[in-house]
Amino acid sequence: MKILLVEDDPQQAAYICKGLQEAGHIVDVAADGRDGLFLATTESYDVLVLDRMLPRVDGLTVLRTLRASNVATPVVILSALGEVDDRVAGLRAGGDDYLVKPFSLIELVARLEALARRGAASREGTPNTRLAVADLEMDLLRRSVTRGGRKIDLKPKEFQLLEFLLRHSEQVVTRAMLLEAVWNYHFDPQTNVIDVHISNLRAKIDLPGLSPLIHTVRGAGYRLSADVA
Amino acid sequence: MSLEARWGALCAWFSSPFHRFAIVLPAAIALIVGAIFYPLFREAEGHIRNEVRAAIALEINGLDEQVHERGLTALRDALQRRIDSAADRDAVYLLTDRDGRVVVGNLAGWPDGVPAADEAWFHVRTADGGTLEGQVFVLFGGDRLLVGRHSPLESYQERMTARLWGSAVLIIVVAASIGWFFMQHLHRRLETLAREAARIQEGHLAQRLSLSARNDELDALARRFNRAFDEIERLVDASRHVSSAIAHDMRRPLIALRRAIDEAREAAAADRILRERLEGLGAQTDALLRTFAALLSLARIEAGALGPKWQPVDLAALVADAIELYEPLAAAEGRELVGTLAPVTVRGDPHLLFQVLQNLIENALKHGAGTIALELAAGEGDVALRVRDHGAGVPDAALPKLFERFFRLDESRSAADGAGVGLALVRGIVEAHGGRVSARNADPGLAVELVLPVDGAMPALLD
Repeated sequence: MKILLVEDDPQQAAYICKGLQEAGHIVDVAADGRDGLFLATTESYDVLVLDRMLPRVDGLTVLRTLRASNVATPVVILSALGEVDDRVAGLRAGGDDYLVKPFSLIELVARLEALARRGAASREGTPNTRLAVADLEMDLLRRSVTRGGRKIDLKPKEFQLLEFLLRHSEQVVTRAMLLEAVWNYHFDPQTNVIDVHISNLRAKIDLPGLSPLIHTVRGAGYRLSADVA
Repeated sequence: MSLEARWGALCAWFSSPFHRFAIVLPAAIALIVGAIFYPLFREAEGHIRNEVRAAIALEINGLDEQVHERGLTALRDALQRRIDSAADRDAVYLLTDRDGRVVVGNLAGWPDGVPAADEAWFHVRTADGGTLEGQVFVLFGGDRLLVGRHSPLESYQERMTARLWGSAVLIIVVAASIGWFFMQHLHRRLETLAREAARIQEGHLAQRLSLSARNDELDALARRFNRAFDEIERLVDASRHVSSAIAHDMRRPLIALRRAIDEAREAAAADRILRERLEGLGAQTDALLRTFAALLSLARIEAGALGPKWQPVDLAALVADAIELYEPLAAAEGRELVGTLAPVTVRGDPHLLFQVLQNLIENALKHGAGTIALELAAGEGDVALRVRDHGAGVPDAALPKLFERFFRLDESRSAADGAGVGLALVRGIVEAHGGRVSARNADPGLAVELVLPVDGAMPALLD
């Protein structure tokens, strides 16, 4: 993936840059809004990471300008709490996701990959009505789930959880992402509330004797994958 | 009402300076008027008495001369003349023989209570209510002569007493009503000032006491208080700024530290023990960062930086969401979440309100025990949300402090367990929504109650 990072704090930029490169991505860094705008409009990127507080041209202005000039590249906005971390304003300006500092690199990478895939999926056009990983299948129209042909009964939230995992199969999905996608609330759970939901879901999907599909990624979140690794 | 309660109510009534003033002022005026007029009244009384006596003495002297010069017959004629001429309506004469039979006079008979002794002064009341005053003489041969007057003294006394009481009542009524109106006026102004002061106490730090156009002593006092409030506002702003500035400034080094720990952990991938220790360190740093984040959002909420995001929130759906989210976690711990939800809607920020529920439920899961009951009830213009568990509750002494920053029941608990900002955040959010929050021991368990206004009174900002 080719990523543009617009961040004025050199330390922070170096850290993020290193983390993204280690995850196997190509990263360009711009240190202020003007350079960021220039790079974003002249080069082609899969995802943009945009700090909200930037010298010269601030992050939201960069974003609005990009959207006004028909650059549809997915954008993750970074914001330090205590500054004006108004998520709604950020998303309204054309942002696709919003992260409040400090965040873990795993969180950022997970969100970037999710965004890039969404961007790719929307370019492909036809909306998927069937999702599948290995022998696990989900029919979005009939709202049914089967594993190896056997029907699985899920509660509405479990269905939504599984749908999100399926849409982001092979990717790491963090707890905060699940909370935002399934419950639509933005907060930092201080308990293992999501893990319990996942383990309930896992008990229905990964029946004894079958190869496990929902994997826990230590220190990060979950990954739905046919591979054990 | 018992006697003691009445006495208490009376004492309370009297403890108001207005009521005391309204009673004491007319009473004092009445006392002063009484002190001035009573001696005057007594003096006038003495004068009247002397006048009456003098008139009687004059009469007697005249009659005495008649008797001395021309004898008893002349006296009788003189009396008859005086009675007939009726020149003096108040004069009373009576001549009787020694057995009290009337010889001549304008009295029907010897009045009761008048002694038949020579030169005796008498002072009696007559049957018609008047007063008779005069002197008795026993003449030669035992005939008795009574010379006297209807005294105006008693009627004067009665009239004067009536007037004095009348004017006392008038003074009291007039003084009391003037006092009452004045007090009402003063009371209204004081009430306005009290209301404004209460708003300041509620956190509207920009509120000031209003001044009247008169520029009187109350205005001077209000101005002095306003200067004090200016100072308080400045200090509170400064301390708010300082605490959020500290939280803000400390975040950078902490984030750098968190980063360094991450990097060290990756570098130490081979050493399991070191890696686990670094992970623990990372978790501690995360907890600190979370606390700072909570402090910062609390500061922002208290500063009222939220208003524009207000929207109608289906509180019942929100609570149901929270229950659904936490139910599996509770079940995993052998606990239960039960909701009794009335359909209510408030104005507010759904994410913040969800954070309130998150904090309350996590608090009940962490520190409480047994079933956690959530109850949502509609009231008059407001909504009550109660969250209670069935654990040991908290000591009564700790209840008022529960919603304070950094308050923790068990000081020995580590900071990673939450620095006691959660419930402070709950209060901050609820108050920003124009509501209030309270806690009590429900025996068993702790019950926290939130009351939110339905119309979501705009938060304490933009004053």
